[in-house]
Amino acid sequence: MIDVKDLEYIYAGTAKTALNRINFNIDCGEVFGFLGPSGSGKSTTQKILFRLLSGYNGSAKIDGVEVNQWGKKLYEKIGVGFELPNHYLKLTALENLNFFKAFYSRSKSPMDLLAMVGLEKDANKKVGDYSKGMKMRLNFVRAIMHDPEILFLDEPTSGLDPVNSRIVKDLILEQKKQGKTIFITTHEMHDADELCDRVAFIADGSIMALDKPQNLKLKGSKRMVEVRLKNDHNLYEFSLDELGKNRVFSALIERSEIETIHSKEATLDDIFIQITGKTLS
Amino acid sequence: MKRIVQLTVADLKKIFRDKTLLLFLLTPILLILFVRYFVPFITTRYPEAAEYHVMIMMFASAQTAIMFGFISSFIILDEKDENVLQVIRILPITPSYFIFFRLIFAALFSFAGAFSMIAFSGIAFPGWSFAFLLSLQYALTAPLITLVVSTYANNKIEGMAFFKGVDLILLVPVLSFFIDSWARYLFGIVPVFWTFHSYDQAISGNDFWLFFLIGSVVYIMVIALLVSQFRKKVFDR
Ligand SMILES: Nc1ncnc2c1ncn2[C@@H]1O[C@H](COP(=O)(O)OP(=O)(O)OP(=O)(O)O)[C@@H](O)[C@H]1O
Ligand SMILES: [Mg+2]
Repeated sequence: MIDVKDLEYIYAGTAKTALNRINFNIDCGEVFGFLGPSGSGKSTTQKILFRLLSGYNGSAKIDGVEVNQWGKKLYEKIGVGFELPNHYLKLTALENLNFFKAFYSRSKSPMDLLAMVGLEKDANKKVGDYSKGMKMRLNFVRAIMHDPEILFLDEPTSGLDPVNSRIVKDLILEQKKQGKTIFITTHEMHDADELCDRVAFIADGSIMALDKPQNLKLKGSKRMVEVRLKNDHNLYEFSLDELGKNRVFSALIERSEIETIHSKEATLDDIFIQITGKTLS
Repeated sequence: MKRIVQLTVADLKKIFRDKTLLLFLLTPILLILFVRYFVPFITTRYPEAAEYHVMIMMFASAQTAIMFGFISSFIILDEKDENVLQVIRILPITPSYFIFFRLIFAALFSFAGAFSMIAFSGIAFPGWSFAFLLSLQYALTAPLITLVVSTYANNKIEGMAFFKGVDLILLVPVLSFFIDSWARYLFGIVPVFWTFHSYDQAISGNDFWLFFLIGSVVYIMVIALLVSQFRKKVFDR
C-alpha cells in the first residue's frame, strides 16, 4: 500500500538532512508506527507522503504510484490527522465539519462524528473556545469523515487526558478492524505497543530498527526473573531457562514470602535507548 | 456547486464574526456616504473643489474596491495563522480551484463596491457603460491585493502593515496628474495608474480605450505573476 525507498529530505535553507535514506513499507490493513523523539523526522515523513512537502529524493509510493504523480484523487483515499489542531476558530465544530464535508464525494454525518468523540454537546460552540484536547478529538474525526482507506495520524493521543486518549485509541482499533491501513507516529511507547502491528524506531532522520513490538522487546530482554522477598532488602535474579528445576529458586520461595516477582522483559523505551542511544522524551 | 455555496457561506460567517473584517466591510459604505453627502457639501462652500471631483472619485472607487481584497486576504491569513491552510491543501481539490474561488469572491464584491461608488456618489459620473467598464477594472485590484498580502504577509499583524503600505502606493499614481511630461508614465508600473487615467479619459478625453486596454493587460500580467508566486509560497502541490 505504501512503499518508501531511500527517502531523503532536506528542508530548504537548512544544512541538516531531516530524513536519511529511510526504507519501509506498509501493508494493506496494517497499523504501522513511527516511534521516535521530538525532531526525529516523523512528521516530515508523513508530510511527504500526503504531499505537504515536495522536493524529496528517493521514492515514496502510495498504491504503486509515486506521491508526486498523484493528483487530487489521492485525498479521497487518505485521511490525515494532524499533529496540531487546525480548525476555523471562528466557526463552530459542526460548521467546521460541514465545511470540509462539502469537498468529499462521500462523508459520514458530522453530528455522528462528533458523538463518536463525545463532542455532540459542544457541536455548536466555536472551536476557538475549545480546549486542546477537544480540538485534537475534532482533528481525529475530521480525518476519518470521508471513510478513507489509509489514515495518517500524527501523534493522535498527544495532549489528551487518559480518558480521551482511551477513546481515540479505541477508535483507531475500530478503524483497524474495518481493514483500514494506518500510519501512526508517536513518542508514547505504550501507544506504539498497543496499537501497532509493526513499529519503526526513528532517531535523527534514520530508521534504526523495524519489527513487531513483541519481537523488538524480546531482542533486548534479559531472560531473567527478579524476586523481592518480604523483610529482605536483597534482589534475587534467576535465569528463566529451566527455572522449575532451579533448586536455589524453589528453596527461596519455599522459605520466605514473596513481595514481588517480575520477568525482566524490556519495555519499548528500554529497547529504544539500547538501539538508538537516545531517550524517547 | 455545493462547494461554492459552502465556501461562500463559511467566508461570510468568518467576516461577520470578525471585528476587523466587519470594519473593512463597512468602509466602502461609509466612503460612498462620505462622497455622496460630504463632498457636494464642501463644493457648495468652496466651488473650486469641483475641479477635483474626478480625482476624488477615481481614488474613492479604488479605495472601495481594494477593501474586498483585504477582506479576502485576511481570511487567507487567518487560515495561515490557524493552520487550516494545511487542511485545505489535503482536500480533493486542485490548488487553482481554491485560489480562483478566493480571487473571484474578492473581485465580485469589489466590482459591486466600485460600481456602487461610481453610480451612487452623484459626482463625476461617466455614464453607465463607462461605469461598468471602470468597475470591471477596479474589481481587478481585489485579486491583486489578495495575492500580494496573502503571499508576502506571514500573519495578520504583517497584513495590517501591508494594508497601510498598499494604500499609500495606491495614492501615488494620483501624482501623475500633476506632472505634464512623459515622466508621468513611470507611474504606470502601479496598475491603478491606468484605471485612474481611464476614469479621467471617460470623463474628459478620447483615449479611454487606450488606457483601459493597456491597463487590463498590466493587471492580468501582474495577477498571473502573483498567482505563480502564491502557488510557490503558499499552496504548493
Ligand atoms: N519547516 C521546517 N524548516 C526547517 N526545518 C524543519 C522544518 N520542520 C522540521 N524541521 C526539522 O526537521 C527535523 C525533523 O522534524 P519533524 O517535524 O519531522 O520531527 P518529528 O519527529 O515530527 O518531531 P515531533 O515529535 O516534535 O513532532 C527536525 O530537525 C526539525 O528541526
Ligand atoms: Mg511531529
